[in-house]
Parts: sequence; C-alpha cells; structure tokens
Amino acid sequence: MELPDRYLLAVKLFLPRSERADVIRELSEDLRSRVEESEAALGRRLTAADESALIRQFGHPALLAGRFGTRRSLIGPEIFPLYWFVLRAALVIGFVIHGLIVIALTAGGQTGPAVSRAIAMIPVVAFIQFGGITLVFSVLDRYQLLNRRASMP
Amino acid sequence: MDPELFESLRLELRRGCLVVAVLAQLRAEHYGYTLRKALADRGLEIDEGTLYPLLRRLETQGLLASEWREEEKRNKRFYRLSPDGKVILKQLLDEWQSINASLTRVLGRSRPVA
Repeated sequence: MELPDRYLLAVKLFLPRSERADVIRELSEDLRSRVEESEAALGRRLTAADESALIRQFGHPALLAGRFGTRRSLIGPEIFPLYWFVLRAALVIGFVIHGLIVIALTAGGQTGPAVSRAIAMIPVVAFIQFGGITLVFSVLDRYQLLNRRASMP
Repeated sequence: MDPELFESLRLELRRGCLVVAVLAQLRAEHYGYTLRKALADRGLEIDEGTLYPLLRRLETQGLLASEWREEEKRNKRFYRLSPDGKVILKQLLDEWQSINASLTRVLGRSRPVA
C-alpha cells in the first residue's frame, strides 16, 4: 500500500488541521476496501499501475481535500458586484489622473525621463489599487460588515 | 451549445437529490464504502470526493450519527440516520413529491414524466 499512503499524505496536507485525522482514517479505509475488491475481482494482487489507476479516480489531492470543510471564497458573490464597481472606478480614475499628469508634464515642456517615469508608474499604481481594494473587500466579506446592514429589515 | 452547460445544470439538479438519497439509504446503517455500493447498485453513482464531504456535512448538521466500530478486524465509521434526520428526510420526501407533482402538471398530460 505504498502509493495509496503517499496519496493520503498529500490529501492530508491540504485538509484543515482539525479534520485531518478523521478524514484520512475514513478515506484510507475506503481505499483499502476498493483495493481489496479489485484484488478479489482480478484474483491477484494489484500492480503499481492498477493502484495508480484506482487512485486517479479520486482526483488531485488538493481538489479532494478542498471538498471537505466549508466553501471559502475571498470575495463572495453578494459583494462581488460592488467590489467590481469600486475596482473599475478606481482604475479608471487612476488612469485619468496619470493621463492628466503626463499631459501636464508634456505641456510644461518636460520631456524624456520625467514623462516616462510617470508612465512607468501606471501599472505599479494599478497593481497597488488592485491589491488594496481586494484586501479591503475580502475583510469586509470575511466579517460580513456590509451584508449585516443590508439584511436588516 | 456548450456541453459544460448541461453538466453544470445536471450537477445542480443532482446535488439536492443526492442528499435525499443518502439520508434515505442511511435509514439502515452503512459505512462509506457499502453506502456507495448500495447507492450505485440502485443506479446512483456517487464518487468519494462527493460522498465523504456530504456525510461530514450532514453529520455536523445533526442529521446523521456516526461511530467508529470494528468489523472484520478493521475500524470502520458507521453512519445512521439520527432522529432529527428522520424528521428532515420525511419533510424532504414530501417536498420532492410535491415538486414532482408540480412538474408533471407543468409538463402537461401529453408528456408524462417518466
């Protein structure tokens, strides 16, 4: 049972700590039952290839583990539209401000380094906005800060 | 047409039915492996990645009771419908009958539901 053990070890890594022992014990029992059933049907011991085919039916360890425990998402479907709206608005405003800065620099007679530096900042600022807004909304969602108010009568 | 579309709608339709089937099958005691086989024998294939998380969820919700017990020199986790589970199962079956009856009416007499 070498391959099944390695598979279960991999599943274990992705499970929440509190559920590990129990889930693995149960999955291991199931795997053993399946191996025994196949061996009885074939009338011989399973080869490594047989075991690998059997385990493949269980799917990727991380995906199998992911199905245990509650569903987790960074930003849930309820506040996603608001998140998306704020993110788009922030990015558009960021681009507009940068556009204005570039125009102002050019109009002010600046060339070369100053203008290209301003342009180079655009993706950096966009990335920071994306990170910051995502962080704020994931915290809002995690602690249900918006939903609670919305669900009040 | 997108073949994944049918698949995702099918899963959605199946999800609720699986819960009812698992609860109904656990009116008699089973451990995971025999439960899966019993359901498969009745035409309902359910893979491990669906069954075990579902069993855990139903147990957390108090609809199932489980215990580890030795059988054939191996420890197995046996599940059985709890008293709460029995009540819920009955309600779900009533609901299912009523949905089925409504669907039959929606479809009309010319196309009976198989």
